[in-house]
Amino acid sequence: MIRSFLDVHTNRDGVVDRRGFLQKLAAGATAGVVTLGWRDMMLAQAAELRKRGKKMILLWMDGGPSQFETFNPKIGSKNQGPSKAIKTNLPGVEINEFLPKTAQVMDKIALIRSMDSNESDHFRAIKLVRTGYKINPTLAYPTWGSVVAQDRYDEQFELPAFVRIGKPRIKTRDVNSGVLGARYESFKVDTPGNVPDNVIPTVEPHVLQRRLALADELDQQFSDAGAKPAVKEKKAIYDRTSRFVLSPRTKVFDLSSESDTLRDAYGRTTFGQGCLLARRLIEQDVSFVEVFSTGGRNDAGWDTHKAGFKDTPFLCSETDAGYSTLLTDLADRGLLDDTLVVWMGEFGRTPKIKKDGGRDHYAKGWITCLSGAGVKTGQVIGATDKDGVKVSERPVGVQDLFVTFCHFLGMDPRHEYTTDMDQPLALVKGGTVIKELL
Amino acid sequence: MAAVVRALLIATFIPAISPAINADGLDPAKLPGLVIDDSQATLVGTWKKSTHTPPYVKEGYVFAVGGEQTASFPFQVKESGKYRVLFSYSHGTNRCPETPVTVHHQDGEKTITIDERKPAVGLYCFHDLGEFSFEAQKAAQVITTTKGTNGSLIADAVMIVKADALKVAQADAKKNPLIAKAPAKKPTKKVPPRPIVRPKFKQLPPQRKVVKITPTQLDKMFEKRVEGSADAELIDDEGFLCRATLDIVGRQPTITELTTFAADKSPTKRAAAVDRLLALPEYGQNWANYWTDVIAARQLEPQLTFHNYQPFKKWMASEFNRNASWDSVVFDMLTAYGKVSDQPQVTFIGFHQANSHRVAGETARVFLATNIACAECHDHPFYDMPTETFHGMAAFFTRTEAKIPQLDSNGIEVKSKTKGEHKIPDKPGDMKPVAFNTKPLDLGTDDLTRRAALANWIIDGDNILFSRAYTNRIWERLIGRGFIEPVDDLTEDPDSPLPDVHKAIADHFVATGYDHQELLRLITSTHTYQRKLQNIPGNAKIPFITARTKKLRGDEVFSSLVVAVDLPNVTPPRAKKTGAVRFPPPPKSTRDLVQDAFGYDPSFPDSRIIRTMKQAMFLMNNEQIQRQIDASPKSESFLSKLLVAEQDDQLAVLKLYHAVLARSPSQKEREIVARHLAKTNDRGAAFEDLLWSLINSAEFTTRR
Repeated sequence: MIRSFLDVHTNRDGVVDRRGFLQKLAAGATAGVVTLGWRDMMLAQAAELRKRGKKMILLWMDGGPSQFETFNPKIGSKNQGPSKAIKTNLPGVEINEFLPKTAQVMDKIALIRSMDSNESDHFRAIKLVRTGYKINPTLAYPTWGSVVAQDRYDEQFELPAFVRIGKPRIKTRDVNSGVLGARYESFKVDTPGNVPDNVIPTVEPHVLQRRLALADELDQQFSDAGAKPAVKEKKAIYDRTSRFVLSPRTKVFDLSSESDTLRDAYGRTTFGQGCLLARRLIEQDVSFVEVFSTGGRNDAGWDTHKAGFKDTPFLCSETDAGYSTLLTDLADRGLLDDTLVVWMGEFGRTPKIKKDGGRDHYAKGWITCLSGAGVKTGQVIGATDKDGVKVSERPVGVQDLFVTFCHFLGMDPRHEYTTDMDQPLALVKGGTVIKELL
Repeated sequence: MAAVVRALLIATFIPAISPAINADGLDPAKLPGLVIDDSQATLVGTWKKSTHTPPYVKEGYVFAVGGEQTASFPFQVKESGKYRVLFSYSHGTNRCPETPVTVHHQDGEKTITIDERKPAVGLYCFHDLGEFSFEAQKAAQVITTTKGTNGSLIADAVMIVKADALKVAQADAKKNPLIAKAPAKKPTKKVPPRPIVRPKFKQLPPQRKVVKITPTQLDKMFEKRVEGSADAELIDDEGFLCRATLDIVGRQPTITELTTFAADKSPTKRAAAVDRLLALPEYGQNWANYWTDVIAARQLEPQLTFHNYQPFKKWMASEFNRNASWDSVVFDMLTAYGKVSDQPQVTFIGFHQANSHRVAGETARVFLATNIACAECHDHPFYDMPTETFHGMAAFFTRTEAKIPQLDSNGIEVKSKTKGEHKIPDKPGDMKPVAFNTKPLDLGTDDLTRRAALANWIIDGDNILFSRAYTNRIWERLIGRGFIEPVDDLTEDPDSPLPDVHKAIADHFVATGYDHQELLRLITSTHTYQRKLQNIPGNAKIPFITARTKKLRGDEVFSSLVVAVDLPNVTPPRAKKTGAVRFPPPPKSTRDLVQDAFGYDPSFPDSRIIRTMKQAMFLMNNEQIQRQIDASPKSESFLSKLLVAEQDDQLAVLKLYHAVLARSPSQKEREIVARHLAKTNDRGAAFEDLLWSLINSAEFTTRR
């Protein structure tokens, strides 16, 4: 509300377009709208800026990535398998050779090697790690993107607050906006580069506008005939929708304006191009973007029970290009300071190796990587023992992680929002902030 | 457990005539090789015995689901050499699709993955794993594990056999297939299935006196109680037909229906129209859709099974169309057992996976409009409901279980367990099944007796919650506001505006024997139902003076699009299940897409059901709809045909209004449209604009 009223702009460096702000203020004052004092306005503006400033990208490794084959190789252990470790640009920190590009941006990452969640069933783990709450058959907790979207919801904003790119590998294991309802559901882009169905008008903008005007006029008749509230509600959503579908901002979904060099660097995969789209959306002030990594070849994704030595390098190459390029690209454009980037899956994989390199589910010592938004990067938090079986240092729980998300997004984790069943629900229950990241 | 070593029985093998080779327990002595039965295997974890699906070796097989359970079959061979190794299981649809079987042989180990949903390829129930070398008198074994698997993993036996002996036995088996023997053996099965007595429905009339009520009596009550309602204007004929058609059959009237109704000069034509609508098959379908939305909104899909409500909808539709009483429909759902495909009424319990907590909470919410779920963990905070209330209800379902096969929900089966009692977490002792303050059932009561007892308590004519919950819901659908909201919680709103009117209607419903059609006839005949929409300041607060709008449900929007512009229902081909894509989601038809965008939980009050951008984008830009808006004659769209048939602009406008909004345009609307036609030189383009605007009007997706 305040944002639309003030029309405060920030440019890429976060500097306020003060002239626009003052002009609007003056206009409001003469119209008798302004009732707040100058100081109140500045505070409101600051709060609003802070709120709008921090965004989040979740890179979701669907199926549970192996910590051994990604960020926590155990060289010399019988549990490591044939892959090797490589040096990174952080002295003393090594990661798996399957992530050579990511190794060169480790200074932009805070790596947690000691996630501990005790949920090693996909369904239960996905519910936990995507919502922050343990599964509850009678309460559909919303996915985190919806929680952020409702916190940042702005009626005047032309783009959706929450965008999902790619699809979960298995549909029934999805998590949606749950008790937050349809308003905060993600806007889904199944294939990056393609604009989703029904967004692009089938007619010229002027024709659409002509039709909208006629519909408005006819709606007024229905309103006069006794349906005032229904028409008012319809008009609000059509105003917002037409602003979106007619907005030049929908160009954000078109990747063709990006250079081939950059598109290649992200990797020509759904995940890689999804990361590129995520950057474009963040540039346009979208509050939350999630990108799914599944490898695109099957519905096993990162769930590499079988053929692990074949599939994991393939999956790593997808994530390596997309993730590392996203971090540098965001940093180059000055967006990383305002964007929390999180890389994770629902759990890790067993230390014991199966025949062809497969590993089963394992919820101890899995990986989360955080970057941007003021996270203290270039460090490793926690560790597992020499064979990667137990968390030996600094176990981090899922609730701790969510409290930490709140901290960097400028949200109060104990704040209670109202569900569509009219019950109060805290953003996060339990957990403490991961101090090392501050 | 020592391995049993048996001499190879090539010479003495006589499979063809042996009565021991039947579809049930195969006799190892009659098999061509060394057999290690599951009774000789080392089982780690939770394995259960079963004889459910023959054939199997000896006295059954063992199975385990998920987790990390292993079964090892140890053995030694007498002579070194090459042998074929076979693994026996009984196949079935709920079985593990990727059973890993590891053979530890002379040169190491090899894991072979078996799809236990498919029949074994080898000999009878034995699946041939391949040829391996074994050293004489050296310990060898075959191991299987549930780790990383889904479904029921069956382990029955392992056989080690020389290749030539196997060939002989296979040839013999071909001549004397096992299956031919199976029926003869069946009756002698050790444990005959317990006969299930399907609980019988019987209507339970109330002890108290209940009377029917007429529409006139009802109107009088309103006139007395709701100030200003006596003078409120009634809706015209076109408006009535549209409203009643939407409410009863879930779509707007067709042009033919409009014309017929307009031509009817009878003074009782409104009642006659209601009767005609109640006789359409769409009537049952509409209410089946409504109840499916109510129930499905709170059912979560299991992680690898896609819920398909078609069988349930079909069943419900036929129940409504034969005007089955509501108590019998509810009784059927609560006492149902069997598979969704044969007994679709199991959907209510089965799609909750027979989880006793969920089913108890939902039974109370959906059929009694009582929220007991709050009492699951603690005493209810706002009114007197101890946590025992919840658990007493859950205990009715504690012996109900559901089998959930992967992918296809038609195979979900609701069954009874013979053991088990309900426990309140962290409290000692077993909880007896008890519904609120009634007499508890004894512990040990069997599943169906429990469920029938609960169902009978619910549908009893003296259980006022049952009739009030139902009539409140129907009233809310038809009038736009319930006596109490939300409609699934009668308990938390003490400020019902008209409790006596609600009670009168509920008693009427009981007196008619829970007759849904009679209830619709009663309500649609009242003036309260037939009032016009009006903008009265504050009428949101004073209910029932005027009619109220309501958002159409997903299927109502779809059916209205079909009536309005002949929208086709296109279903893409079903994606095949492959090795790479094991769980392809079912395809989405046009109807599904509309339901996805416009569907909502009908237990929510209208204020909680929001309009979304997805809905707006669908009507604004969806290609299938836009194709029907194409005026060029080549398109053969609904619009192009209309424009060819109706050269006169005014008549064409009238027809469009009839088709899309099911009414004639007002004088003002005619003027607006005429202005638009005059302003836009292109006739086709102008009509495209009009049709688009009508479909995208607030009115089109609103119950009015």
